[in-house]
Amino acid sequence: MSQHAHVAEAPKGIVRKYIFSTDHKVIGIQYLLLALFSVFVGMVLSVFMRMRLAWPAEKWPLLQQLFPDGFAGGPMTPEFYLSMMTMHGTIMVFFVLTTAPLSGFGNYFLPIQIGARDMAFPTLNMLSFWVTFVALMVMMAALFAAGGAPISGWTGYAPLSALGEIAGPGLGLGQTLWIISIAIFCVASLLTSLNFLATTINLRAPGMSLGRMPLTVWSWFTTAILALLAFPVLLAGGILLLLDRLGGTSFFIPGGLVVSDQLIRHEGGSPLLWQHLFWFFGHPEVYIAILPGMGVTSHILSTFCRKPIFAYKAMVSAIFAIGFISYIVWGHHMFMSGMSPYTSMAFSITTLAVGVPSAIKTFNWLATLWGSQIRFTTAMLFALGFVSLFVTGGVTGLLLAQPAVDIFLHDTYFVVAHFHMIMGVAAIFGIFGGIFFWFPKMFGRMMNETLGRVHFWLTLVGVYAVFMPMHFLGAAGAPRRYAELTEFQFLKPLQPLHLFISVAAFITIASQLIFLVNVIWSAWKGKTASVNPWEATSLEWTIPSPPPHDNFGETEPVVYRGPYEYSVPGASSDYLLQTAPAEKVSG
Amino acid sequence: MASSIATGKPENMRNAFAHGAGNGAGGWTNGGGGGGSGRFVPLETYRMGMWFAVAGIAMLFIALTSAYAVRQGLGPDWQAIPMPRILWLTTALLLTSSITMEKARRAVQLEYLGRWLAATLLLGVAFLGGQFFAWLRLEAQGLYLATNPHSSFFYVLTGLHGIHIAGGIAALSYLLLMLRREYVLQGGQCGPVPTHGVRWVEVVGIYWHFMDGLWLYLLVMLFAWT
Repeated sequence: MSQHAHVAEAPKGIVRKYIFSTDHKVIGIQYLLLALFSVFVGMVLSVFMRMRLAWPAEKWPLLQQLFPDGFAGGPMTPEFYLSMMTMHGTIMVFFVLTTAPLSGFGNYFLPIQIGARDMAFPTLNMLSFWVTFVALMVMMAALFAAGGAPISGWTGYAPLSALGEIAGPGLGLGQTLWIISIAIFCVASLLTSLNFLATTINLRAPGMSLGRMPLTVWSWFTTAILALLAFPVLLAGGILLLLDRLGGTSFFIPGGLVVSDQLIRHEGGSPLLWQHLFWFFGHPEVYIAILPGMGVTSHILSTFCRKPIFAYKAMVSAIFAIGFISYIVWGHHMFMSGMSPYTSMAFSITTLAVGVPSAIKTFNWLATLWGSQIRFTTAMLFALGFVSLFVTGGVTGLLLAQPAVDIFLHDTYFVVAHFHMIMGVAAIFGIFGGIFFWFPKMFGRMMNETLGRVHFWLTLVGVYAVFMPMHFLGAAGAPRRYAELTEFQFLKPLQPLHLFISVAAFITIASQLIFLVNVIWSAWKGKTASVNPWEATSLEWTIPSPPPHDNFGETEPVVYRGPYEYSVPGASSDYLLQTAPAEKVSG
Repeated sequence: MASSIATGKPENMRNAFAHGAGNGAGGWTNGGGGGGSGRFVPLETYRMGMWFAVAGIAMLFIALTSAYAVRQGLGPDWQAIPMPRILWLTTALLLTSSITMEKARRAVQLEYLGRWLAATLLLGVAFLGGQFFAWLRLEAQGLYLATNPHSSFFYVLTGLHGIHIAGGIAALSYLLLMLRREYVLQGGQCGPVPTHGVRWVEVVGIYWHFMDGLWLYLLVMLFAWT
């Protein structure tokens, strides 16, 4: 087979091997590094915000020297706070929560878990990454743009985002770059998702029927469908928004606006139109961030419970149900935008319906845990943490889904607490779980479990300390997005809570250094990992750690069984690899 | 030239490499974005990838359609612009190009493939030229991007469609360059279409037909649906 001999050839030279590589594993790591850089930037921005909220009048001489405009007159200006908030949200949602779980882990492990040598279109895959990279660079340019970074939030609501410099600092060049970056990101996501879909449908190894795919693959597959159909809608909105700014059109700008004492020469546009387009993308986007975490959690729970995942088919159906419903709930972000109460009711019912498949998943995770002999690895701890955060964040979603309740809670810290719990932190726990679980496979070395546990507990307690009090702030009526809440008499007693949240946030952020040290130390000095250190069953654990260039070498894997065959009665070991033929089971 | 047809019907060829014949003639080994790995990816995968891309592009225009409908219902500032007559011609050009694309897709021999692809490419360029002329005509009538919402949508939709056609033209040019190289490799003889060429023609064909259908849809939406 001359073709197979050809296959084993890995590219030579640093550029082809590590930079413009078409190897899905290298691209996966590139995405993870891009997300790591982005999460660092995003965290720094949140430190700025928490400083302002905890010590509203404090002057920071050093920062004043670095950002003379942002700290004009001593304390951080409200506009600077808003730009930090906008960039924090944007960078975290797009360049961390979308890239790491889907493009990062999905790129690395989807082809291996279905027994493929690479993605269906490797060159396209490389292109997707570099387009994403360009999007990030443009976003960084927006962060440091002359006139400041945009202040219109990660949702870029029109008309604030559509009017240009006249509407405020950062809304000139910064906002334009922001829109361009998002548009580029949309294109990259489209390329990534079509690659994922074609790969999953067409490149599965013999025997890898749909019912034998790990739940991770199902979640990446569903996420790719969501990304494929959601991002073009944001792209459409972005193009129209850019034309409103640069081409003089009036898609989103209503008539008769007076801004900075000037009459705006636009008429007839609708800010609501932007909200519809944005949230038609925005709600599926939430599930794009969280679904891969669900897949990873299912995978890890089953592995370390040494039990099959409870109700595999129900899990797959629930993933699809969540994905489908995500397209018909976007209106719940707009209850307060003057929508008809009947429309609100319809969106409320569909939103509450998300609770059903979510509960199916949660109870199935609990049923998987029930009566099992749990191996408490760090990966397992993070998976359990995911379940905890998913429930905490999900329950408040049911409250916010009701228009009557939302009238009060809308745009308060309650919403901030809700989406950080479920979309931010839960998804991040999914990422951490994935890193601890797959690090041995990716780098051939084990991570340090002691450091891992310390990091886990500090992070878990930390995120609860940060976001639980925000529920109380929201219930008390504290509005989000405000740089300063001391102006309100009724909120003054809650200022110590802001101080507590800030301190908790700084400690939590600092404890991420433990993780960073663990990753770097383990990559160089960690214990050498065997082929299958967790005694897991899916295909990535049948090949060397780290896997060779073509994953499976000369022989194509043949799959004989499902992905979660742990503790099979009569089997010789407590796990059966997916490649184990029937005759090897007993003995 | 027809005498040099070597391998018979295209179905046979497609089947041949769907069963693992892999990469064909020498000039084509760097297959289908294979990035030098030279691995075997069936034609069906390429088709599927293009169908997903088409789905994504369709979503872009569906979103714009909903924006179009909403914006039209918003107020009295919507004034329908007259349809530039040259659009009849450009529509005819694009429809014809779908026929030539289909001829190319069914060609089994390098020379015919090259001819039909070149015809498609020329028709595509002519279409773009006609679209640009339509823009100039509207501008001559004082109808600019920002004049009113209908003119805005006209420029946005024709512009985005034009960008996609330009992408198709780029793909056709790349394909023709590859064919040229293959022609040289075959020593100036016109042999069968290599497998990699078949893949490209297939996916570009799907894309091109979709762009054709999309244009008809946009035309109806812009000027027949009020």
